[in-house]
Amino acid sequence: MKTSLKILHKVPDLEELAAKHQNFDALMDAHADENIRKRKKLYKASSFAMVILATAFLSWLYWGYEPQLTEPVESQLEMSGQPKEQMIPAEKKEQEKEVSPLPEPMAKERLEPAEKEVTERETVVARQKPENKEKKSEEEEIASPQVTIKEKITADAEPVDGLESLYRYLYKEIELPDSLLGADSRLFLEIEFMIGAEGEISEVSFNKELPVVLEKKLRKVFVEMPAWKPALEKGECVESYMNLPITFQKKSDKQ
Amino acid sequence: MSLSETEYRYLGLQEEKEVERAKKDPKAFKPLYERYYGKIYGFLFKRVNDEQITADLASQTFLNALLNLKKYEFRGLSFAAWLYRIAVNLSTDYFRQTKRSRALYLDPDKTSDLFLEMVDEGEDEAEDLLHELKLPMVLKALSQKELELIELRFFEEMSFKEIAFVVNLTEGNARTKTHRILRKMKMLIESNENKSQDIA
Repeated sequence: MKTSLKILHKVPDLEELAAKHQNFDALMDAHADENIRKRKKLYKASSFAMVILATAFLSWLYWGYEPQLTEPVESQLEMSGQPKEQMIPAEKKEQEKEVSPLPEPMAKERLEPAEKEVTERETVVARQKPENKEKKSEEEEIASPQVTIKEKITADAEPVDGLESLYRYLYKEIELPDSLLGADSRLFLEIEFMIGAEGEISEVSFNKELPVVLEKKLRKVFVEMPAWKPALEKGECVESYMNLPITFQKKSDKQ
Repeated sequence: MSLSETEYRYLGLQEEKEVERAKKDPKAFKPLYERYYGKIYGFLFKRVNDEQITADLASQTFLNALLNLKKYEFRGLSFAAWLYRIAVNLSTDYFRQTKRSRALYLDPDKTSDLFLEMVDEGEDEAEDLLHELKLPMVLKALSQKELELIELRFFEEMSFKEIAFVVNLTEGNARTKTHRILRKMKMLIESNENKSQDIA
């Protein structure tokens, strides 16, 4: 490939020209300017890199970090109609064990004396769970792939003023129309609600379709019920769900 | 530019110290700058044939050298070889970007050396003269790389070791390529002469 070439047969005095353009001070200035420019470029690049890293880190924190979740397991309730086991909020739908049977009428006898002042209908409230929980050892917990919430939660949620106070409240506040009661003059309802980490009540739901007005009333009763102590998990307050089976029964005319 | 081995050794030691000092303090670059500025300017002018552009390229050569001084390692060659390497690359980039024709100054003293490499012994003076006149034509027929080797060897009087460093070849490769180019140039002259004779 040919080169485009201009042949010179004569050149000016190159030494003179070189001396004319030789300027060491200008070289020093250019060198200093170039260093400043490089430093600015490096600063911009490192700032950009820091922003990228911070964004990546925040994204990882927000999207990538998954808190440890325990698998909710519902323990068997006793025939007397004790409240269902508390479940972790995110896993509340996964129930491995059967729902407890309806509370028996005999549970009425266990009601606190104050509740004996009944009106037309009696309310049988779910009982406190028996305190014979099986506490697995840590080894068993590790070995068993399905660790129950019961075992993880070191303390269940409970009303601040105690169950007695809760019963009194519910008894006082809940009134059901006769039309809702069945042939046996009873209505069984399962009311599920969430007890927040600060003891606040929310997400009240029912296992049956109720008239809108009544459902609204019941929901309000539960949301406004006396405060609860939140469940404890390894010393920390956690959200939990309570499932309260309640049997509404028409009071006998005997009393 | 070719120096004897002793001169190389001495100059190399002196320059090595100057370079080490300049690495720490840019102001210590001044002796190197003053020693080689004229040479680099002259080399570039003979390629570019423009006073101001040559000054810009020369300044850029020394600026690049100063900015990259920490990468320089003494390899038994004078500091000028490194400056030439930078200058060759800068001028090549300049021609590529501007698409201007490069120039070549046929210094009469240097041209005769080149010519002597090409002619055979026993050729008479008339033929020698013919060859010399045809030299520009033959040089134009060379590629950019080939011309560069001829320029550095015969017009800048560099050793093969220095040429190898400037154009990034091994010394043996630089030597072999240069001889091949000379043979090619001779063949081009002779073939051209044959064509002229045929026409005549």
